[in-house]
Amino acid sequence: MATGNVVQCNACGGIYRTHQLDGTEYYHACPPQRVIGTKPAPTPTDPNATAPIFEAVANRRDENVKVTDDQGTVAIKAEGLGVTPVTDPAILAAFTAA
Amino acid sequence: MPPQLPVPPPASAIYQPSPVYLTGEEELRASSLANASGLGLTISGRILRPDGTISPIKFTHAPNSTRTIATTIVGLSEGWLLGLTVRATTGAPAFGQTWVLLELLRGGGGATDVVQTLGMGFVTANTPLNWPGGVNFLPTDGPGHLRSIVGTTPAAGAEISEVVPTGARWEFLAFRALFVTSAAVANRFPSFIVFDGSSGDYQNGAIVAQAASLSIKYHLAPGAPAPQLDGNNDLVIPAPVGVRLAAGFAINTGTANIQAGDQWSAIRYLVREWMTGE
Repeated sequence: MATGNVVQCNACGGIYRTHQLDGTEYYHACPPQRVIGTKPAPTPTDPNATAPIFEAVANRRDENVKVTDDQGTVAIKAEGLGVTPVTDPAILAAFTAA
Repeated sequence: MPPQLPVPPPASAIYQPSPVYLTGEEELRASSLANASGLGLTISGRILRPDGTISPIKFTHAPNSTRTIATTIVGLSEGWLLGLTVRATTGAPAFGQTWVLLELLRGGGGATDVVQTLGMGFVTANTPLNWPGGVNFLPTDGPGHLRSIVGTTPAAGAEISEVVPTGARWEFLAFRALFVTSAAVANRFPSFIVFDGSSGDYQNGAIVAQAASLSIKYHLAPGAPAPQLDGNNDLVIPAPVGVRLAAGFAINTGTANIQAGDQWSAIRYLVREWMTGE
């Protein structure tokens, strides 16, 4: 049974396991946007309330496959900025227990 | 002069032990769809040759793990095709993870024509696909393959986005995730969105705000009666029953007033998966 590795996407920062425990592969796809900061809420009920500032995720990674030729060769849809293996024991433990 | 013994007719003229007579110009094509890695199939069978001898067939086939078609083609000798059986001999696929199509071709090496479809269906190590007499299943038939998936933990301030893989069709069964809010003051309202790739088809969310510095585990549950928060900070949100999602569709969160330090994590969901072969 392939358990795969835990990696971090260099485009969106998401962390995931490349193989599920049942042997199936997991294909990560970046979300379209993320929050990079806050600003004062437009109509605050609390004077300290904040609202998010969004930014589109650039160079989004999409590991879902596409067939590239008549021979059935497959490749991932978008490489993005690649991935980095996760070595932090706490994160790895969280993914084992998830 | 001794009496002349009658010349026995060829075996092919005596009886028909099979509905398929091979001329020696046909080939057998095994095609597969699978969603697990490290699988191997063995295709076995027998041919009754015109001289009355039985010739075995045996070859292996390696499915792709990406739900894309993999094919293996082998030549067949002349005679009656008595039977074929396919089973998984490497790996241990669950039912619904590996689908096989067996066809007869002519014109190998150049343009090929499919002259007969012999059978199609799911195989495991213990449940073979067989011809003749087997029951045919399309890859979208049957109970599907149950998958419990650990999703991507997004970066702080980012939403969950779990996309149905290429070549898959999902029936959504359950979803849960933990949302931890930072100290930034704001009332967050998480919601779950079934997304068809261009717009949201269904959205339902929390009816109570999640304020700063709180942890709530959200459960999206088909058939749940109404959003409800229990004493353990588990919030159940209803979803429609029997929702099917095509490849490219997604299960997303959309959190009103999400803050840069807010964190979704511990994402896990249960789906029933079929392979579409598209």
